[in-house]
Order: sequence, then structure tokens, then C-alpha cells
Amino acid sequence: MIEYKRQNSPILVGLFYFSIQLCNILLFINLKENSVPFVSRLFIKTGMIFFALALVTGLLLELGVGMVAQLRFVFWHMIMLGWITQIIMGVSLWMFPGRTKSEAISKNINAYLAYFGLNAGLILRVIAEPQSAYYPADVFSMMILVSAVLQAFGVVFYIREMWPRLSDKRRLAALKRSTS
Amino acid sequence: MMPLISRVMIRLAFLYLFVGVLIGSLMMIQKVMPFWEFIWILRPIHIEMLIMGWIIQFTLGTAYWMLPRLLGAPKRGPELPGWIMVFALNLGIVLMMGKSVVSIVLASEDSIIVLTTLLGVTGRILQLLAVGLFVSLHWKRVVTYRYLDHSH
Repeated sequence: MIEYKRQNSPILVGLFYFSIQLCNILLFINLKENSVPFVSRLFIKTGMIFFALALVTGLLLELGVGMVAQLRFVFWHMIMLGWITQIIMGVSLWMFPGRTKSEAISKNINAYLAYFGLNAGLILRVIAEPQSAYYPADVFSMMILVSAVLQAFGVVFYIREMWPRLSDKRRLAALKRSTS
Repeated sequence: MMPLISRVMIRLAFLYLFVGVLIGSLMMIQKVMPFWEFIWILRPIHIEMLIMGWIIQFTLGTAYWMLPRLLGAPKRGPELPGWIMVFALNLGIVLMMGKSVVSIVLASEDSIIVLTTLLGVTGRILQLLAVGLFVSLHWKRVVTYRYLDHSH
């Protein structure tokens, strides 16, 4: 009798490793380096990607390509929120006093939720806003609605993380004790 | 330790960020689910809050904390000009936002141009004063102590 041994498909395994490597390359995440917190690196590098995308959008605007009127909003928000605000958030999460030394998501939950809210919100906006002016489908309206809520929540979580870290020396020491 | 002036400026920046983004989110919702047609009058306030209130105020507050300190006391220069800087910047932002509100609410009044000009000019002068104070407080702090003779 022939025994069949269950094996993972080499194609699927290959695709799995390829997708992980692709994510690493796309986000430029150096997982070995740990001096700058992982969440800060996510903020800063995603900000850089938005910066480049914003300038591509700016180029399209100058060339008069596509849905120009709606791209103007997208361009400014990718610059101000996608780049400047994200680099401010990434650096402040890293440099401001009271940071936990742990890289665990549970210890940095507000920062990760802020990252998710801001970026998911901005991506939805970039996709839906230019489309909604020309194809007023319900799906684009819903995406804009979700985007607005996500961005607002992202900011709330960032402030929630940072507000206690601006306390005076005594409260900051208590905060450090509670997070270590 | 972060000085009180920086902590106040950064917390004020967070408040402007929160309110500014909230207004922005409401304007986005208005696009797809209209609930108040006059929400667009808040657009200049949204921009003023997020550029001057959030980004500029946050960077000034952080620079006051992080730039190299002076060798003599007080380490970050006299405190009074620092507090005037905070006050002038925030009053300037409030007046600029007031200008936007007044120009809508009193649109039919004859004296509107005088009033909005007065608010706008005063607001920007106060912001200029804040920037001037920031420059004067930090000019000497933008140095390197690498070549300092440590034998003294």
C-alpha cells in the first residue's frame, strides 16, 4: 500500500515567503535593528512612501492628468497628514520621555491603533475621493465615511499615548513604573 | 526633563490637532452624507488650526526643549519671553480663526472689511512676534560644543 505523506505545496510556501519579503522590502523594515522602536519606523517609512506618492500626484496635477480637481485634496492631505504629521508622530513616539522599552504590541497599543487609523483612513481617502466625484457609487461614499472616522480615531489614539508622557517628573516616574 | 513651556505648547498643539482633524472629518462626512451645508465655513479654521496650531506650535515647543542648552543659567534663556511667545502665538491663532468666523457671520455688515482686516493683521503680527521671540531665544542655542575646551 502506498502511503501518502501530507506536504505543503512548495509553490504556496514559496509564495508565503515571497509575500513576507515583499512586505519587508515595501516597508523597508529592518527587523534586526532595535534602537528606534518598530512602530516609529513604521510611521516614518510609511510617511516617506506617502511623501513620494504625494509628489507623483503633484506632478500629475501639473500635467493636468486625470481627475485633477479631486487630486488637489489628495495631494495636500498626503503631504500634510501622510508625510509631515506621520514623521512628527513617529519621531515623538521615539524621542519623547516616558517611552516603554518593550516592543510588544500590547505595550504600544495606542501607537499601533494610531498608525492603523491614520494610514487606513488616508489610503481609503486616496482611493475613494477622486472616484466619488465621477462615479458617485455607494461604495465610494462608504469608503469616505469610514476614512473620516478612522483618521479621527487615529489622532485620538496618538494623543492618548502622548498626553501622559508630557507630565511632570513625578507623574512620569509613576508612568514608567506602571509600563515597565 | 522637558520644560513647562514645551509641555504647554505641545499639549496645546494636541488640542488643535484633535479639533482640526475633527472639523476635517466632519467636512468629509458632509461630502457623502450632508448634514449641515454651512460646514465649509470652517475650512479656513481647519487649515489655521492644523498648520499654525498643530505643526508650527509642536515644532516650536519641541525645539525649545531639544536644542542645545546655554552653558550659563538660565539654560534655555529667560523664561518671560518664552511665555510671551506661547501667548502671542496662540492669541494670533485665535484671532485668525475669529477673522474667519466674523467674515461669515457678519457678512452683510458694512464694517466687515475693517473688522476682518483688523483681526487678520493683529493675528499675523502676534504670530510674527512669537516667531521673532523664538528666533531670539534660540539663535545662540544653535551651536556645537564639540570644540569646547573641557580643561576649565
